[in-house]
Parts: sequence; structure tokens; C-alpha cells
Amino acid sequence: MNNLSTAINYERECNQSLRKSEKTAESRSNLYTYFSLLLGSPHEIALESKITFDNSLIKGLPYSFQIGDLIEEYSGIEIVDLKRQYSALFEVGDEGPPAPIREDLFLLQPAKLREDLVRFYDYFGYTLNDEFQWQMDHLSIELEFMHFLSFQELESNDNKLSFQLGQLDFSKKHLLNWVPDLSATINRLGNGDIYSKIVVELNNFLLIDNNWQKETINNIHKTGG
Amino acid sequence: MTKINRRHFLQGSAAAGVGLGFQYGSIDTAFSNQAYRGFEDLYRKKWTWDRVVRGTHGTNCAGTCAFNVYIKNGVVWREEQQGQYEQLGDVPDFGPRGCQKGMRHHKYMYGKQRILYPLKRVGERGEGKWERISWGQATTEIADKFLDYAIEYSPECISYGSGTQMSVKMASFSSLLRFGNITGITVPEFFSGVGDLPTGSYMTLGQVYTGDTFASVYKAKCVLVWMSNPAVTRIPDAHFFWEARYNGTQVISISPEFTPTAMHSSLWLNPKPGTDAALAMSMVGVMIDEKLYQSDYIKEQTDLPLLVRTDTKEFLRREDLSLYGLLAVDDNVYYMWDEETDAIVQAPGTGRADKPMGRDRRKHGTLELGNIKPNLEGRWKIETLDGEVEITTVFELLKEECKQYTPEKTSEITGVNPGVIKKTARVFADAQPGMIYAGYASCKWLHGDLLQRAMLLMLALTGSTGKEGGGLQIANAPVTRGLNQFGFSDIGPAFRLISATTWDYDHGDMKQMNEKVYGKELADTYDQYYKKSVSEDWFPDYSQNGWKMGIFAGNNGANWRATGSHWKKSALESLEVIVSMAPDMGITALTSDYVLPIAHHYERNDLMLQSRVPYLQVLNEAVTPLGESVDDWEANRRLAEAISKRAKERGIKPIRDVVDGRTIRRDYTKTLELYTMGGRLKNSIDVAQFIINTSHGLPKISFAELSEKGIVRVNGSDNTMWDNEDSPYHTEIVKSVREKHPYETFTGRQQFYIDHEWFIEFEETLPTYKEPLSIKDFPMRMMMGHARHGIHSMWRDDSLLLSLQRGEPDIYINPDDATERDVLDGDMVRIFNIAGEFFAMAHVSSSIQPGMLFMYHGWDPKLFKNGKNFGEVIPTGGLIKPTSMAGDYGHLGYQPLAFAPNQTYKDFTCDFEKSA
Repeated sequence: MNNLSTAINYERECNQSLRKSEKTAESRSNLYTYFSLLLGSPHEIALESKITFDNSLIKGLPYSFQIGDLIEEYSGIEIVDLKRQYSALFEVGDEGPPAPIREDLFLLQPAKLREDLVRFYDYFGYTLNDEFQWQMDHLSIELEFMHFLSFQELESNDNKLSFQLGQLDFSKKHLLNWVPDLSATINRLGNGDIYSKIVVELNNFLLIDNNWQKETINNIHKTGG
Repeated sequence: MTKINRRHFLQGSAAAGVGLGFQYGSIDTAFSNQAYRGFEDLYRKKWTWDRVVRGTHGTNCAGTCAFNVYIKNGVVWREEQQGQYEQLGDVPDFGPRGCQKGMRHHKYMYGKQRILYPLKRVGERGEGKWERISWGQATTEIADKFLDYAIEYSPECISYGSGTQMSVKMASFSSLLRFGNITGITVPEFFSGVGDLPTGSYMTLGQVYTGDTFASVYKAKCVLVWMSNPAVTRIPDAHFFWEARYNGTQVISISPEFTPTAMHSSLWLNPKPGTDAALAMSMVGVMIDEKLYQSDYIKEQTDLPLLVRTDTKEFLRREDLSLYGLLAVDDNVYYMWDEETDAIVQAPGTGRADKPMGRDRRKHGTLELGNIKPNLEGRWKIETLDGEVEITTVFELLKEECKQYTPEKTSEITGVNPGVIKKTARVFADAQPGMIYAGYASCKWLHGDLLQRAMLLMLALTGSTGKEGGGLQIANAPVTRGLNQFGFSDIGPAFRLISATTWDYDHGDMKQMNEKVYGKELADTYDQYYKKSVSEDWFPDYSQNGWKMGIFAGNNGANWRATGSHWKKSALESLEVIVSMAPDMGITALTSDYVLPIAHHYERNDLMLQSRVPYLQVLNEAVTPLGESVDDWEANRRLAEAISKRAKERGIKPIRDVVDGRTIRRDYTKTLELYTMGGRLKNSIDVAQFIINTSHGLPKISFAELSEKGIVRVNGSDNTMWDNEDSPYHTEIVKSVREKHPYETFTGRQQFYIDHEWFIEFEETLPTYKEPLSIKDFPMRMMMGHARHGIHSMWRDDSLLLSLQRGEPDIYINPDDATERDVLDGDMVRIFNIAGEFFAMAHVSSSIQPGMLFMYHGWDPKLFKNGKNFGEVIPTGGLIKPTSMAGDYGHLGYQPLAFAPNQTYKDFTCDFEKSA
């Protein structure tokens, strides 16, 4: 996990004129949801209706990002093929999955990682259903958590900063701590299947979004220096 | 406080025009509105547990260590030793118990090796290409194949191999017994299959379960820790050895390599690998020469005073003396020479029925000598139906045998100094009682039976067998009455149980391997005796219907088998369907067509009961099984359900099946009904409760109460030894020593002389030393042992545990041998012989003798270069010792889990070189 020692010496505040939560939070929240859905296990997530893309849901993004074509391609694939591709890449293999879709597994089970996730979830009141608790480090779940934080940024009247800082820290400590390497691993595998494309796009999105988040958060030295 | 779930969130999102919501969880707004300013806020609240659950690790380290398992948010985060074992009399406590593997399991169970979903192979076998399928699809397809083979051939052609992971868990193993009994499949047992069966012990005592509790070590005055390394392999119990030393016990380690156990011992003897029987016989010789033996004990308890004809080398029997004897059914009357009357006299306790098995032996007489004063030494001439013959005692013959093992001659064989041999023999004889704590390695040599017979001879001469703190400590196990009752109720025993050794011989073309490695003469000879044994019905023949389908449960069979690739190619890969039921991916699962996910240690309800630790231990389902894994009971239930359903759908009529002469009507439409006892048994808790209720020696406790307590003492365990019939363990040997019940041997005594025609042919009537087999032109003898950082193949691939070793498979090499081959520590070396090759990292160490290599076992082939492990150079799978298949001789003849040939692992040599 990355060092966040700056937080000890600095207080942080959000530049609302740049952030424009009322416009951006909803779209960002929706984009996180789209990725969460795309990376959910087709074996476990009900796919009774395929994901449909609505551009209006992400029109408020503060940066340019296209996902419509990817969702369209995904939706055109039979569920049985989605299941096969998903399992082959993320779930099974003779020495574990080629590209584990769980942060803890991907990073070879470092100490405290899962505890940090649970502390994030507990602190913000995000409780996983029983059947998903053991895979709290699943990429789809981490993205759903970001979806929640960014949505709450929109909904909350007097606590926006908490959700804004939560997003920044969570994406830095977790998502950006492994998704770039996951993307690189998938590139090396060179499968070219839909899930490889989704992860590569997700990585692009996370980098763009994180940079934008950082631009909207100012560090102010505690001692006034 | 408001809980926001998927529905709420969708409503809120819809209001905002989003239309997307939660898939995995819900939000508690009471928490979600806390101020957050930095990651430190996350850590201000003390970490707490939702609950702490009792548990252990259901694996065959024989530890059954009571653990507390800590749960939060449905996840196991840590475990620690329960530490609630009480003080037991004047011996050290059993607790706290545990080791680094158990302490690591909370991580391992979430590791990448974990099998989470039913899988179907989509690539070539072993290629690692899988499709995740549903349980329904998997069990239906497996059931269809099962029915195809069972109907067309016989259920005999479907094997269900259980490994230790499954069999040590009582409810799980019972479910296999029941499933196998109902369906008629063949179960190749692994006790002999992995070479762990103490055959020599059975030959001598009629019993393989001779071990006591670990606390008995503390009561010994001298312990020979022989071919064993408890400091590494028995971590929770090794303290008994070191505490015994504070109690004045001599702990003497005997192993060719300098082990962590030797490091802490009073004395270390390092015989050349495989020469241990010579060492034992030499110590026997010293005891006899110096009259250090317990004369009264051996006269009463052993066959040493029994009379033998010197012309035929057979015991003097009634048939030699009278026409009545020729007609008698019981040919097991034996004679002594009575010093008082100067004449032969029938030995007490002889003249019984052939096989007085079980706990009702008291009706078969007594060993008490009464007025008889047997001679141990002497030669006499008597008149027989064949004319005058010379007779002598077994003891006299033993004295003759020992002449070839003087300490000086033995030193040339073993490399152990004659003075050390004499000293050790004296120390052992002087210590009353003496104990031999022998590892299962003593069973893994081709002539391991001879070694064990020689060990028992040392113990007999010193009067140690059957005494508190004495005897041979290799194996013990519960008398599994409850398990059998569960497995066989309703339809009675209809169970095909066969030694995995003979199963492999029949189906793995092992004769061909013998011929390639050891030559045609040996291969033909062994094969001839094998076939003779089967044709005489001494051993069952399950080879007629072929082997079509293999189910492997809790069993990484493709990892541990001797003759690795040969067996894989000739047996495993020729199967039409392979099914693995396992929690973790290993070479066997990797080679399978279907893989079914099995719950790990903290995800199942079950019982553990081992012999060395007198506590019944619970396994609790601390967390829901990961992914779609289920416990063994449930996996078998689903298979049974699918077999019933498909049998009905396909209109399959009952078949006639014959098992061991008994005709069974197998109606596969009723498989589920029978398996669940008509629906009365719902889950593994019900099975566990059934076992508790019906097993002798277990406190009658509810599973719920046991779950709360974690452990409960078994009945009859006040003492350090199993001498109380209230206990769930074998007490037969102690009964023989204390209450003079005849032993379950042909002679009714500790039997060191076996006059079966095959034993006479192979000159093994008495314990003796036979040189281990070698492969010509390959000078290095490779030895293996259980590892510190894994239990068999489990945990061997754990990242933290790997970091405590070399991080990959390594092989120990003596510095001189390494230098000779220009190998440096850390180099990759190629180990090879005519059977095959594998690669490992050189671990150059002076703890290893020149001329030997040593490797800790359990490394799965997937951890090696080219995916091939040490099994490649171990060509011993077909070395079935003829005498271990002898029959029609009292106690000798097939006895499942007691008398069967071991698959051996030691009698080969190899070489090594630096690898590019």
C-alpha cells in the first residue's frame, strides 16, 4: 500500500469550484457502476437483462471518457461465453488464475491489506452480503464501493468532504495499488478477450479519475506554514 | 439508522436519474455519515471479532491441535492455540498445541491454489484449461459415467481413493464408507499404499496398532527415535522427548542424516541408509551374548522357547507326533522343552482356532506357564512320524543368526562404531522400560518388515513391549466401531477395500517397471509370487474388470505415488474419467476431467480422533465454505442424488454384484435414500453425532456441546498408555502382557519365527538384515522425510512458509559429493536414474552422509521445473515383497489395514549433476 504520510502533516480540503460535485459525482458514480457490473462474475451476478449503455448517465464527467462501445461489445457476447472467458482469466488455473481478480490474491496476500479494506467498508457503513464477504477484495466490489462513495458525495449535504477524501484515499491505497499491474499482466497474457479489454479501459479510467480527484483536493499545512 | 440495500439504492439512484445500484452489499447510513479526514480515522476504532470458534486442521499430522478461530465479517482473520488441555497425572500436558502451518491457515485458505467452483476440463489433461460449471452439471455428468461403467462392467472398475485429508475426518471418512458400501466401488486404501503399514509389527504381534499416547514417552527410560524426526514432524508433541530427558530418559536418535531431533538427543547413531536391521540385530546379539535379556518375559510372551525341527525348519507340531495330529483341524499346537520333566510339553495358549480376532480372546486360553519351565537353549532328538529328528528352540536359532551381526561385522555394514553399538545395546537393555519410537519410514523399505521384527525383538528381550513407557511406537488408531456402523448399516458390509499397492500393481503395469529397473529375474520372481497369492485366494483379485474411472478425494495420489510418471502414464492417464474432490489445486486435480471444490478446515463440521493425543477434537464451520465448495459428506450426497436421479431417468434396473463371495442387489435408484438413511441424515453434524453416539470410548456428548468446548477427553485415558478397554483404542498388546491373553498370531505369542514356506524359501524365518536394492551404476541413495513446513502436499506452496525455506524444492547433498560434481550450494541440479529425472536446488550440507541425498517430501510436481517431482526417480511402486502377500498361515493372509504389502519408496539409487 502507498504511503499516505502527508495526511499527518496536512489537512485537506476540496476545491468545490473545480470539483462541481452536483454535476460530476453522479456521472462518476455511474461510470464506477458500469465497470463494477462489467467485472462482476457472470456466474454470480444476475444477468437477466444485459447491461445497456445510456450516455446521458455519464454526461457530467469532468473529463472525456468513452465506454459505450465496450459495453456494446460486452452485451453482444453470449452469457455462456462470458462465463468461460471470465473463469479462464480471473478464476481458475493450475497455479491459480492467470490474472486474479482479487486484490489480495493478485498482490500475493500482503499483511493487513484485507483489514484495510474492511476498515474502509466498515467506516463508511458498506456491508457486504454474506456470500460476498470473503471476497471483499474483488475488483467489482471495490468499484461498487467507489460507486457508493461518489454517489454519497452527491447526496450528502454536510459531509461531502468525507466522501471526496474517502474516494481519493481508497483509489490510491487500493485500486491504483494493483489495477495497473493487473492491466499489465493481462496485456502480457495477450488474450484479447472482452475482459482483457475491460480491465485495460478500467485502468485508463482510474488513472484519469484519480488525477482529476487530486486536482480538486488541496493540502493545507496544519501549522499554517 | 437507515439500511440502504440494493432496492433502496436503486430507488435513490432512479430519483437522480442513475438507474444503477448495488450488487454486493448495503449501506448503513449511521456509519456512512461519519466525518473522514484521513486514513488514520479508519484505525481509531479497536478491531473486534464477531465471534471466536473452536476448530482444528483436519489433516494427517496426527496433531489434532485445538485452535480458536477468529471471525469478522464472515472471514477468518487469525487463529491461535486454544490452550485448554488439563494437567494429566505426573506427565507434561498435551497443550498448548499447534505449529506454524496451522497458524498460517487463515491465509492459505484464501490462497490462489484454492479450488472454489466445480470445474470441467476443456483442454488436454494437465494443460490447466478449465470451464467453471455448476454442481448440477458436474454431478449429472459424473453420475452418467458412473452408471455406464457400473452397468457395463461392474462398480469394481470405479475407484474411490481417499487420502489422509479425508480419512482423518471421521464424518467425512464415514461418508466415503457409506457411499462405497452402497455403490460397490473399489476403495484402494492408502495405509499400505503410501507404505505406512507396519507389516513387521503385524507379523510379530498380530497387531499394527501398538502405539500409546505421546505422554508415554515421558515414562520411558530409554527411547530410540529411529527413522523418525519428531522435532520436525510432530511439532506439538516433540516436547515430550525433551521433557523426558529432564526426567532422566536417554533419548537416542538413529538416522543417517543429522536431524533437528538428533540435535537435541543424548546420542546420535548414523547408520548408512537401509542398514538399520543389521544394527538392530547386532544389538540383539549383544543382549544375548551378555545375557541382558528378561528371561521370564520371553519365555512367557514370545515364541523364543518354542521348538523347531532343524531338518525342515518348521515348528514342531502335533502332526509330527501323532496320526491324530495329521487329522486335526487346528495345526497350531506348539511345543516347548520343559526343564523340569526334560520332555516336550504343549506351549500354553496354543492349540486355538486359527484367527482369534477381537476382544474375546480370553476364551482361547492363557500364556501363563504354570509349572512349565521352558528351556531357551538346547538341542534334542525326538521320535516323530518321520523318524528321529533334531529339534531346538527359536532362541537357539536366533543365537546362530546373530553370529553374523557381531558389532565388528555390523560396523562394516552400517558404518557405526562397534563400541557405540555395544554401548547403545547396553543402555537400552539396562533401561526398563525401553521404547522404540519408529517413524513410518521403517515401513517404506522393501525389507522394513524385517527391521520392525528386529526392533520388536529388542523390545521383547528387554521385556518392554506392553509396558508403560515401552514398546514399539509406530501406529495406533481408534477402534472405528462407530464409523463401520455408519458405513455399513442398513445393507451390511458390501465394501470393496483393497491395498492401493496391489491395485496399482494390477492396473499400473508395475511388472514392466520392475523389469526395466531391477531386471527380468526379480520382476518375474515377484510376479510369480504375486500371482500365486491371488490364485490361492490369499489376497483378493480386483483386476478382472479393469479400471475405468477414478475418484480421488482428499488425495493427491499423483503426487505421492512411487514410480511417478510410469503410474501416471500407465494407470492414471489411461482412465476414461478422472474426478478430483479437493480444496486445493495439485497435480491430481490438474490431471482430472472434473474437479469438485471441497471445503477447507474452518468451513466444515466434523470430528478428529487420533491415538497419541487422548482428546476428541471438533471441526466447526467457522465460516461459510468459500465459493461453491462443500464438505465431503455433502459432495458425496450430491453424487448420490445425481446417481439416483439419473438411474431413475434412464430406467436402470438393479444389478447383481458379488463382493467377497456375498451377492448384493444394487439398486442405484435408491442411492440417495440409502446414503441419507431415508432422509434422516441431513448434514455432517448428523453424521458426527451418529459416530459419537455409536462409538466405543467416546464421551456421549452432543455435537453442539463439543463445538463449544472444542475438545473433550476420551474415556479410559487416565493413563499414558492404552491399557483400558473403556478407551476407544487398541488394548490388545497390553492385555496379552498383563492378563496373559494369547496374541493374535499363529503361535499365540510374540512370533519372531515364521515357518511359512515362503519365509523359509527367502530365509526370513527370523528377523535378519537384507541389503537394500540398488540400481547398477547409480551410487547415490536418496532418502526422504516429512517436512517441517507442510503436511504432505498441504501448505507446501504457501508463500510465507516458502519464504522460511529456500522458496523452492531443494535437495540436501554432502559437501564431498557436491565438490566431486562441481556443484555449489544454490545450484540447480539434475537428479536422475534409469527411471527418470527431476530438478531441484542443491542444498549443500554436512548433515548428510556422503553417498546419500535427502529431500523433504510433499512438494507437488507443479512446484518443480518441467512439472516433475522426485517420484520420477523412485521406481519402487511394483516392488511387492512376496512374504507380505503370504497366506494360509494363521494370522498371515489379507487383512485390510493390517496385513497387506506396502508400496515401498526407498530401495533405489540415483545420481546427480549440475544442471545448466
